[in-house]
Amino acid sequence: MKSNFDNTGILIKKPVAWLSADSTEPQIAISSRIRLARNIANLKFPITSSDNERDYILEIISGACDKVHLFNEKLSFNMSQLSQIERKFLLERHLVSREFCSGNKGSSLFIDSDESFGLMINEEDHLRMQIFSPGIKFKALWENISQKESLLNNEIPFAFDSKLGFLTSCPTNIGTGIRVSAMLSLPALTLSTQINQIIYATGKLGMTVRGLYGEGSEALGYIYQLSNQSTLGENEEEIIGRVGSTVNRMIQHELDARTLLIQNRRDFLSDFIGRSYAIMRHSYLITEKEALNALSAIRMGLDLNMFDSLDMEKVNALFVMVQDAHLQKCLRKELKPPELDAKRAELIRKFLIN
Amino acid sequence: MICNICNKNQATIHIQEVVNGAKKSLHICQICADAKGISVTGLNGINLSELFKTVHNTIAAPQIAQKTPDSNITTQPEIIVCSSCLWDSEKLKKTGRLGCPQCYKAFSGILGYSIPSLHRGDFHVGKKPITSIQNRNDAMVDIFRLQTKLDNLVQNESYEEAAIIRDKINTLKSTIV
Repeated sequence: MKSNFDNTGILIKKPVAWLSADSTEPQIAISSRIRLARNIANLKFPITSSDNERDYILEIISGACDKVHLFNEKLSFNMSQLSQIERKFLLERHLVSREFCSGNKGSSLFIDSDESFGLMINEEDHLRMQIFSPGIKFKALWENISQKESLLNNEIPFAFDSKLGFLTSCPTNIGTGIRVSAMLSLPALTLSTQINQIIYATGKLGMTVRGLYGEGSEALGYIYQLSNQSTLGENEEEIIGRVGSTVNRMIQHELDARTLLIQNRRDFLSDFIGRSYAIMRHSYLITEKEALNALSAIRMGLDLNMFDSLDMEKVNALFVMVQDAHLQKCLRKELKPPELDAKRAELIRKFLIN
Repeated sequence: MICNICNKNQATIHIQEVVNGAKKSLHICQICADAKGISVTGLNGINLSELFKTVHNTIAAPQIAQKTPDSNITTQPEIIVCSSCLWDSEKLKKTGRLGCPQCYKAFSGILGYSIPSLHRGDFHVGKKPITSIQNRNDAMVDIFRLQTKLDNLVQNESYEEAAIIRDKINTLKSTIV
């Protein structure tokens, strides 16, 4: 196992696992994720546990992970020992939740070095197991994470009730404890102001739509996270099926909105994408939000074959690098706006020229 | 609900204990709670089982049902406390979270209403856990309890006793690794 502090340094040299370019399809469905919430039977949840109790929970889970060889190459992060920037860096890579970033004692993240699988220990529950993939691959993800969950369950007894299923700190997660989510890029639905209607309709279907960084975050870069709302009363396959069909519908809505924009408002759409590129190419001060929104527009431009000299991989890499913590990690210093915005603009200009 | 100790005042603290699936309830007014040194946030150190035993032995169940609230007593919002982790209904309302698996039984009255509205059913139909490792769980629970005791001893600077508990913890840990 690698030590705590070098690990964010290892990650920064690599592209994120959830954002990879497949040029054969429009880049609407960015990635899929399945998360399972579990707690150790008969022990208090992290919210009522003392520091030492949380350390003990970490010790149990860590020991079990090693015993069953849960990870191919395990990287570990002790959240209470990381700086604020390092925690935000992990959030920007979608490896941890916002809540986990508060860095409570005993809160640790274990990930496979390829970032496709991870455990948050002592988050809201003792154990939050997550698996990621670019594109939509729910079925394969479920098979994989279910296998890993069974492996751990050979060593750790989980809190379970025959009626309520797996017991979690928040009653919204009981039963299967599963959250199936897709990260979707929906610029055309946002531009044509249909997005609120769509969010309302998905709510009726028992789905939740959240922003880029999950719970409580805004839709930066026209990116939304769609996930199941309820976890009890249906089995995992049914939930996966329902999320999958809603995702397909959302993708179709976005494609329709793009077609309509091209047919009826072609100049508006081209202007929007072209201006976004111009901002990226010629800015000297740019905020994270402005950069992410512009990059998302450029991604749509790439889907519509508007750029010859750009490729999706490059834009995706930039999409990750322009985020506040990544930028500061990359520059190896703590910065505040306007200096941070100036450095971001400089990085983007250099990146787009080369 | 009337206090189970004085049988006079309106009970504002409600404690539930679940032992082997059997639910026991205890309802106490603020005056009796103060007299017995019980506070919602400070139930640490109170032997709940003992409290349940003494109070339940002196109360006949029908007697409680027959009592009517005294109109002169100011009613306060009822607070339910989980006897296992001491989380209470106020904290549940504030955070939306539960303190331990046993809270689901302690707060079943509150959750019974909200769970069906949160989900697409009220019965688990998905994956079930492997249940052949109960012995290991017992040891984990014992270690967890001893850990809490150790924290208190260290806080009170009772280092000799703390050392004994630490040894016990280490012995138990070696049985589950």
